[in-house]
Parts: sequence; structure tokens; C-alpha cells
Amino acid sequence: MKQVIEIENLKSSIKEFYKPEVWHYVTLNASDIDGVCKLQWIFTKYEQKDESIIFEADVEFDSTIDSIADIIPSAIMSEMEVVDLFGLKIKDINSGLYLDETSMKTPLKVNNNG
Amino acid sequence: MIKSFVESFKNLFEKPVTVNYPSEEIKRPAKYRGLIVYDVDECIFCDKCEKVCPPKAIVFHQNMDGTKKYHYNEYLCIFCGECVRSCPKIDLALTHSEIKPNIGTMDNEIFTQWRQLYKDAKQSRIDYKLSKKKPKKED
Amino acid sequence: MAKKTINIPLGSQHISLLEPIRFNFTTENEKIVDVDWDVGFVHRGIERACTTDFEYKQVGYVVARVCGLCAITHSLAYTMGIEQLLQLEIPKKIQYLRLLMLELDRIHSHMLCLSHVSENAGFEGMFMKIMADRELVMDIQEAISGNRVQFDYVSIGGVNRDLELETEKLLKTNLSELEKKIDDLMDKFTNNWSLSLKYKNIGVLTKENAYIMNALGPMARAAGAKIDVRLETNNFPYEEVGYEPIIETSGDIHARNLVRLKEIKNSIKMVRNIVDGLPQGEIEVKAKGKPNGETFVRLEAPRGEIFYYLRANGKNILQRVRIKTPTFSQIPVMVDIFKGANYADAHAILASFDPCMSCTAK
Repeated sequence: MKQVIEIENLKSSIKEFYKPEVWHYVTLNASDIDGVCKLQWIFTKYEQKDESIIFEADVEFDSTIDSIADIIPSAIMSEMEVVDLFGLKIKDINSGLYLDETSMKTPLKVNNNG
Repeated sequence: MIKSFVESFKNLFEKPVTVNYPSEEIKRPAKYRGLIVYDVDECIFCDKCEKVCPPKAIVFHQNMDGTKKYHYNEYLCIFCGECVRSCPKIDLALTHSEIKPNIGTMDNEIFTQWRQLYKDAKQSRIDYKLSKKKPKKED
Repeated sequence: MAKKTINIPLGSQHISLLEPIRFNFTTENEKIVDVDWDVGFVHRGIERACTTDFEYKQVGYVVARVCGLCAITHSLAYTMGIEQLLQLEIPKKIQYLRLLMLELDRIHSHMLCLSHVSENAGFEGMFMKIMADRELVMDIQEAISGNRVQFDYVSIGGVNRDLELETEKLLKTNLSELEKKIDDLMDKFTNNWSLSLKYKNIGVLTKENAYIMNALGPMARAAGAKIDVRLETNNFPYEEVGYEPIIETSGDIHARNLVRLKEIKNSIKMVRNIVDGLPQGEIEVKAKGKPNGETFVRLEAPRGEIFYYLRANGKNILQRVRIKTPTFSQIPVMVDIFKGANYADAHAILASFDPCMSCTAK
């Protein structure tokens, strides 16, 4: 089941939806389709067969978005990965998980020059 | 406490698990995945094995008189068997044997000059296609 | 006056680590107060290689080489995703053969973790003994697929080899020998006095924290939370072959060892049921067309939950391949468990998490 949200309402929509004993946070996924960055937050239900909810949003590559690490503590890992490999900017998250100064910058962006 | 004493005593007389390789051979089960063997008389040069190989270890060199030559790099090969499964002549032109690969030494041409060989083979295909087009244009 | 703290690194090269990971502990009189971590020493760029260099038929072989212990789980999850995009129906015999290799993989991975835990507690003789018993399972896997570690057994539309009579006999002999040794191991892990000093009430994870911090796999089941992907998906016929969820309540290292031992016994029972009731049929189905659309797949690896997301648009090369591995999302839980423990127990706690760093830094 998919649900499209605006990027400004990210924190409020997830806060009113998420309950730790019922929903399981899987990951944050980012893809580069035709120059636009598509973000997806994926949740599944515990002990029910094949029930899932996906929150989708489209952002530009040079915008800054909020972090949900204070609501869901384990989300910090996937947010660090997106900052490192795609070049997005997220509040209070630094890059440096996989790449260092000598490697290629933003490798998963399709038309990168770095 | 007594249990562990009894067990340590029993372990003194048991046969060890190690195999004294290379004086004893290791027993391998049947159909172990080894090198790929090529038979030039059965091959119909359809190029299917070249397109399917994941690490690109098979390449055909096109000569100017129309014949092709087969090159195989046993150090890039991952022994998956995709080329054997995609060949139209089943188990005749390419077979999956149980031979172990050799050690790569500096006097082996495949080991030291594979990149140049691959580039020349790809270039020879382009040259052959261009040479076929020119006489038609003149006519 | 503030107390003095000392920094002790558990560095990226260490004698008790299998794979490189770096922790920097801030300690006060032997108790750990704060942890600083770094992963990503073995980053190879596999997600980028899957979308530029390889076609969709070859990516299954690339993805299997992300990790050596859970190789079959990665290639199986990718192949199931592509079959959903191509809209292929898989007959029963192929599903049973894939399930057989998946459960055999779980047995040998849990035995490696148990031997590593007992080595870090100082009992090196048990480490050698469990590794020798693990060879019984590796012989079965070599007879079925041709290789001990990288199987290359799954391809799009079916499996590569069938199960023959001699392999069945070898399987049954080895499994009955292995069951006796696992019963012996359960007795040793529970009743040995010096091992219980190192394992009981150390490294505790409570049930509430397991839900808040999103724990997965045997670590969550040892704390009392019923978290298992095999209960939440319909990919494989798990109820028919006799699967039971295994839950313990105390949440320490001893409970995690017991969960792993009981899961090995359950897997042996499942493998025997599969081999006895294998139906007749073909081992391959022809696939037509090119993949189009998007989908995701979840499977239960020995360490937790694996998640694959695929997106394609009708060409030979895929648009996006996203891999999420269990150890990657469990790093915040590990950091939380370290706080408040003694520094001398840090090695045993780290080995009981069963970390797989090649999966984390792909």
C-alpha cells in the first residue's frame, strides 16, 4: 500500500503513524530517476502476512530534509548511507560512512562528474 | 568434573580428523566443478557463450578470412557453468570437467597479457564488419 | 570534580575479530560509558556495479559474492524478485529444493557463531571440535551443488542440479551423526560451570528495547520478542515442513546460544521432512520477456532479515538494486548493549551478536 506525502510534513506524518509494538521499520530507499530523487520509507506489520505501507516523496538533489532519528533510533544508519552515496543534505547527519577523501564523490547519482 | 576426565581419556585413542595432504588424496564427490573443456570440431561459432559469461572470460577473435579463434581465461572464470548450459550443442562443444586449474606463472601468456588480447579481439570484430561494407558501397 | 575517563580501542585489526570493525570505548574504572564506532572498511561498490556493468541475468552471480556465509540467501532473494517482475510461476519441486539449501545454510552458519563465542570465552578446545563437526554439513553441500562455500545453485526459473540417490544416503547418514553431537553440545553449554560465569546475565537486551530499537534475528528472539520473517511472508511452504518459532526470555548471551542450538535442531527436522516428501517434476521453467516495474522481497537469513528492492524499465540493465542486510540495521542496538558492561566482557558480547561486516559495507 502506497501513500504520497509532502516533504514538509514528514516528521508529523510519521510520528502520528508509528507505534513500536505494531509496525516494523525496514529501511529508507533512494533512487535517481530522470534527475529527480525519489525517497521511500518502508514499514511492515509484525506477525501479519504480507502487510506493508510505503511513504513516498520527491525531492531535488540540493534541498535539505529532516531526520527521523529521534522517533526511530535505528533510522540513523540508512540516512547516513543516503547522504554519502547520493549527496542529499539531512539535518545533523554527517557523511563518511563508506567514502573518504580519495574516493569518487556521490557514486550512485546517474550523471555525476566527480 | 569426572565426566570431563572420562571424555579426555577416551579422546586419546580416537582417530584424528585431519587428512595428511599431499601424501593422502582428499576424497571429492562426483561432479565437482572444474575447468571448461572446448572441442573445436563441434563448435558452430554462434557466440552465445561469450554473451552469457559474467566475468567475460571467453572471447572469440575474428580473422580476416572468416574463421574465428577461441580464447579462455581460466583465472577469471568462476566455474558457474552458464556457458555449458547456454550452448546449443548440449555437452558436445563445451563440457564441465573435474580438472583443477594450474598455477599462474609469468611465462603464461593468458595470465600476463589478457587485457591486450581482449581489446584486440573486440577491435578485430569492428574491422571485419567495416571491411565487409566497403565493396558493397563501391558496387 | 568530574571522574577521569580512558579511551580503549577495539581496533580494526584484532585477534578475536573475524572481519574489520572499529569501536572506541570510553571507560571509567572498567565500566563502559560511551562508544564510538566505524564500519565500512570493506566497501566495494556492488550496488553501482549491478546497474552499470552487468546485465540482469548475470547479477545473481555478482550479488552472491557480497558475503561468504549467507551466499545463497542473497542470490535467492534477487532471483525471486526478478521472477516477480517477469510474472513466472514456480512449481513445488523447485521451491522445496531451494528451501533445502536455505536450511542447510542456516545450520552451518549457526555452528560457526557458536564456535566463535566459545573461543572468546577461553575454551579453545570446543572451538576446534565444533569446526570439525561442521565439516559433516559442508560435505553434504559439496555433494549437492559442487562447491563448499559459493554454491551458484539458483538461476532464473529454477535450480541448476537435481537431488540424486547417493546424495540422499550421504545426507541421512551425516544428519543422524550431527544430531547426536548437537545434543551433547546443549548439555555442555547449559551445565558447564566455568562457561556459565562468562555467559549468564551478561550483555542483556530487554524485550521493550528490542521493539524500540528494531532488533532482528536470534538476538530479538532471545529477548522474548516474536520477530521472524518466516511468520510474515508466503514465499515458502514453512508450515508444511514443520517450522516452529523458538523464543527465550532472559536476553543474555546464554539465551542467544540456546536459541541458535534449538534452531539447528529444528532445521535438521525440516530437512529430513523435505527429503522424504520431495515431489516429482522438472527443475527449470523457461523465462520470456524482459523485467519491468518495481518490487521488493524479504527473506530470513541466519542473522536476521534481508531486504531487496528492484526497479527495471524493460531493458537488459536494471535501474536500481537496493540491498539491506541484517547487521547493517542492528549497529545502534549493539552500541546500546555495550553501555554499562565491563570492558573484560566486551569480546564475548561482540561475538554473540554474530556480526557480518562484508554484508554491512557492501
